[in-house]
Amino acid sequence: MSQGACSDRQIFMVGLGGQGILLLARALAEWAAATGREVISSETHGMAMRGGTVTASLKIGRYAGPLIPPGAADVLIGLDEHEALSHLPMLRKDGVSIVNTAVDTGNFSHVVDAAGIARSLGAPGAVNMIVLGCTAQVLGIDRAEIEKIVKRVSPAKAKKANLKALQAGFDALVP
Amino acid sequence: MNTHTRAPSSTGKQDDKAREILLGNEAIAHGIIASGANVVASYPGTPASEVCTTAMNLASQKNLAVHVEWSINEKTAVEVAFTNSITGRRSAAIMKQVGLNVASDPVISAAYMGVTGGLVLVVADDPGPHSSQTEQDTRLFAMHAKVPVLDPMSPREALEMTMQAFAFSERYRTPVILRPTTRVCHARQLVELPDIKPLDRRPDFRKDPSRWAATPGPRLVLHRELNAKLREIEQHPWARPRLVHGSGGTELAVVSSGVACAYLLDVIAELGTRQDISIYKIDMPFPLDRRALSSLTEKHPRVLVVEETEPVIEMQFINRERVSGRMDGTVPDAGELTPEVVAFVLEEFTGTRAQKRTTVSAQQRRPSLCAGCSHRAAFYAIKRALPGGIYASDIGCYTLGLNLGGVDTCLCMGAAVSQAAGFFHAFKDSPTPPPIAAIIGDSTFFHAGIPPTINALVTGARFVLVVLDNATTAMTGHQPTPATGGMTNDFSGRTLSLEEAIAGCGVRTIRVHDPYDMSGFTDAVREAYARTETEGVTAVIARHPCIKDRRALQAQTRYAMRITEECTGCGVCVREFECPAISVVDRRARIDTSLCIGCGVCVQVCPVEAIAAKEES
Ligand code: SF4
Ligand code: SF4
Repeated sequence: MSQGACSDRQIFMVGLGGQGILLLARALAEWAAATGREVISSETHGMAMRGGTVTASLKIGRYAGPLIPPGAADVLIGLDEHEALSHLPMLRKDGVSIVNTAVDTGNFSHVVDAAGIARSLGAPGAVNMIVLGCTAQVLGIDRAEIEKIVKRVSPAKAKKANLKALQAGFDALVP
Repeated sequence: MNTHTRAPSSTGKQDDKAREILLGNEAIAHGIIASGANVVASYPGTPASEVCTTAMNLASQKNLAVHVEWSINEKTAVEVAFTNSITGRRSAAIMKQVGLNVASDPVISAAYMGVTGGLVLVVADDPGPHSSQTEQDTRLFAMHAKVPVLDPMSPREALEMTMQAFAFSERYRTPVILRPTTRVCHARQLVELPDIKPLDRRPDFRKDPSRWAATPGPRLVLHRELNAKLREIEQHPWARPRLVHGSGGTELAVVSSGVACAYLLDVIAELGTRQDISIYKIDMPFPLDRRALSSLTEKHPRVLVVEETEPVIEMQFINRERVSGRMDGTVPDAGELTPEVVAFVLEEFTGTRAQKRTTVSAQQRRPSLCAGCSHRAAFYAIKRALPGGIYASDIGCYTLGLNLGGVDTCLCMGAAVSQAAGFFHAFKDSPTPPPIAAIIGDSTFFHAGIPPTINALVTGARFVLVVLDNATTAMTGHQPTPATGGMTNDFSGRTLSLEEAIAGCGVRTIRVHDPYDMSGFTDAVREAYARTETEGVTAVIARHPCIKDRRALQAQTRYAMRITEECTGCGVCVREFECPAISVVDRRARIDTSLCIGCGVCVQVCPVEAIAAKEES
């Protein structure tokens, strides 16, 4: 019974292979589990990871299956603007979208130039963590909590850069 | 509503069992190790690969007396695992569905012989297909092989079923197949980690040639025994439909299994249905208690079967007059059953037709070889060395060579070599036969390329064999190969180089060259091809590590790339070479620095030398 229950949430993520969407999805799943809720998620592996369209779904609450039907996502996270635009129908009517783009075309509720920020941080691969930071900000996720999780799920070598990017993302959205 | 197979709303903290979010494949690996299996064997293949990786990690982290191996192919994996299981010990073999085709010979025979220790075959299906050649249904194969098959709907259920499958296998002395689909393998869910209890079992092989070495006569006896076992298994609760939603007294009923059942439960919870319905879940689609199925059609005037991907449950209904599903077109006969397809089918069946369907008709971005991948350089060079040729290729990252016209065929593992032979025989009497190349990856060559190489050599075929050696099984997540070593959890075993293996097949000319040097590599292919005239099959090994290997990438020279004023915007670098970092915008090439790894190879592609490279310090 997921209708309206505020704790139940479906988050759809899309990007291109190599952008690190799986780590983003993983961090959000760990966060949800840490708050004591059930989670089931789905991710793309295999050939698409070589630069193709990669999607991930995260369902928080009482769900049995891992996929989100079109028009049912509460939140859409896009690491690539074009992919986000073409997957916009995944979002329910008043759903929230958080998308990495350099130019705000007015298609999304929240945009962030994550690629630009990543470049200025000297970590062009950290787009995923910047967008995660924004997402945490938008969804009201506790900052210390998500930092703890990113520390845990990041590969040792990327830990520092990921944390820096997460923090930059957290502060990037001017309300 | 009845929610007892849906997750509870809160995980609570009722006990101190460790709970972790696990990938379906990780959950299965935990189940295998916790059940005390001492042999685990697999060949990598999406969506199954992470099972063996996880088992290997568990075995080494916990220092368990378990042998985990990446076998050379699925047939070998099954044979090793099966044999451990006829000594009373527990084993698992893991593969993707098309790997089961490779292993079909031992699996079907093993069903006749049975086992004394539990044998679980994990075979992952890929409806969609997302990363496979076919959408074949392993449950149908299981029926053909007369092996019981379990169909989990979630990581949590996959773990439970794996643990129970070993005891089940021992009780009925039969191999058992666990058939997760991509959406179970690559779902993550909170699961309770099982305790790892080592099984202290001595190997006990009772010699019995009438079973373990049966000739056709005793095989008939074994076949009858197998049939009797299956009749006994039909009495197991898994063989009966289980009511998971509704009263069981409704006019409409849906019978389902696997992840499709999970979608049904979600769709009903989300949208509801105008008419009340009952949902039955089937845990073991074969063998089924057919009388229990018949009583469903007696109780419910209309029954819908929703399953992936073939009508396996549906065809086991004795009387199908009241049954709809794939066989009468109510359920589409190909493609994945996503939540929206399930919702649509359910609406049709219940006559609800609630709201307009939302669909996402997103143009999926096509995958391509990574920027800087040495395969791209190899394909580009082969095209130049053998213009107008036929390029028979194979399965791996390098299948993506088709984006740059370097791959003409891709049939199944190892077929590059036999297809090259087939093309040779097809064209050998034509006035101008095209040059032929077999282009195959290192892991694929070991998996199924060796017998066809010998075959080609001893049957007079002439072509050049190009083995793309990037020192890994890249596509499936970078597993080792026989040439790299590390095929087992304890690093036992020697390595075998490609040169040794190819020479062992009888090939005399074997050139090794780094494809990053495209002109040198082109010459190597050209020369090797010239020698096919007298030698039949000659070989070139394209040796350059996969740049997704961090250490390899750091070890290679990195160039700062620049497009100069000379660029005419001709697009050769995009069309013929297809590096994803290069695009042509406003009649000028552009290099995306966030993708470019600075390999410098594209310098050799530009006809007007407009791509410049400067070595980075
Ligand atoms: S993963 Fe390695 S082999 Fe595969 S496309 Fe990328 S660079 Fe090439
Ligand atoms: S140097 Fe050229 S070929 Fe290599 S990655 Fe960069 S753009 Fe691609």
